[in-house]
Amino acid sequence: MYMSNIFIIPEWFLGYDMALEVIFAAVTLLVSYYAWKIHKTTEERNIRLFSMAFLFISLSYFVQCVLNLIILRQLEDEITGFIGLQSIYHLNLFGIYFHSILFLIGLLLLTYIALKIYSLQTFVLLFLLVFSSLYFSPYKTFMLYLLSTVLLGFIVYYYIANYWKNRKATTLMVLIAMILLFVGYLHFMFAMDNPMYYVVGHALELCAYVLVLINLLIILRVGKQRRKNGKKT
Amino acid sequence: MAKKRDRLRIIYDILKAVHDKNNRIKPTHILYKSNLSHQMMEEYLAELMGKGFLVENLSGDSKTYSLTQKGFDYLAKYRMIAEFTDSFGLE
Repeated sequence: MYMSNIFIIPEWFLGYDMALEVIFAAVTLLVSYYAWKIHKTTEERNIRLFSMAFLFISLSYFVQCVLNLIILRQLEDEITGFIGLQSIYHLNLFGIYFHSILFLIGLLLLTYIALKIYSLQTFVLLFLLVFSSLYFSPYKTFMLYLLSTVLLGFIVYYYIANYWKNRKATTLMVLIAMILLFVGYLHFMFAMDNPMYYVVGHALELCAYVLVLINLLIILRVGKQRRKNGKKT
Repeated sequence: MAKKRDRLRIIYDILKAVHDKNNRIKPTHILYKSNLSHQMMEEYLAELMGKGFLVENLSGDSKTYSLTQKGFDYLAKYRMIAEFTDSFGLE
């Protein structure tokens, strides 16, 4: 059986998942925005790439949310005929692919930063490896989540090294957030067998992005304190 | 063992050295204050001028460097920048 079929989302969870995706899109967009502001001050290339990575991740959640909203509207309009269900099926499939491709590009950029080999060839190679294995796989949905999990695993390894080098609360928070995302995506891989994995995956993602948001707020508070101290002196 | 300074910290040290000398500093003072080799300092100065953080002032035989507005902005936001880049591993 091909595994490119859609997830069975628990009925009670419909709507909640969209609310969560809006939160994820907003948090990642905030990270992208502040990274871009810092890039404008420092002109550092890896900060620009980081900003772009989070912008892609934010767009991926935004797309998923919009398409889920359209699907939910169609279901509410009680288009229960075969053609209606077919279009909902395809829309859902398109939503999963579009979300995952944007998400994968974001993860590829983060992996590229973690590799610290700044050459276009490296990025092109990563891009081709990821998207060719996706294109030729008969189990596309499963492959999308498998690739995301592998890339997140590599990113987790990078953040373990980062925490080891710089042991403080903020680096630990980012590390835990990445681990939660990694475990969340492991759950998505099995969501086709049991819809509860889809819910657990979302819950783990929520915890991860709450940590990222807290981290961002701490950073912004440090910036404000610095400006206040600067005005006093 | 002392921790290796990252790029952003070195840039901060150079800009701070310029700032602390009333925004006009000779290359020899930068060399002394930034604790870099001559070659490294030259590379950093070229980069900082290229990015618009510093400007070179020539008068007769002497050469000095001054901060631009962008350089002042960098100094003002450095702690936030360092926190951001540390926590997200963007050194």
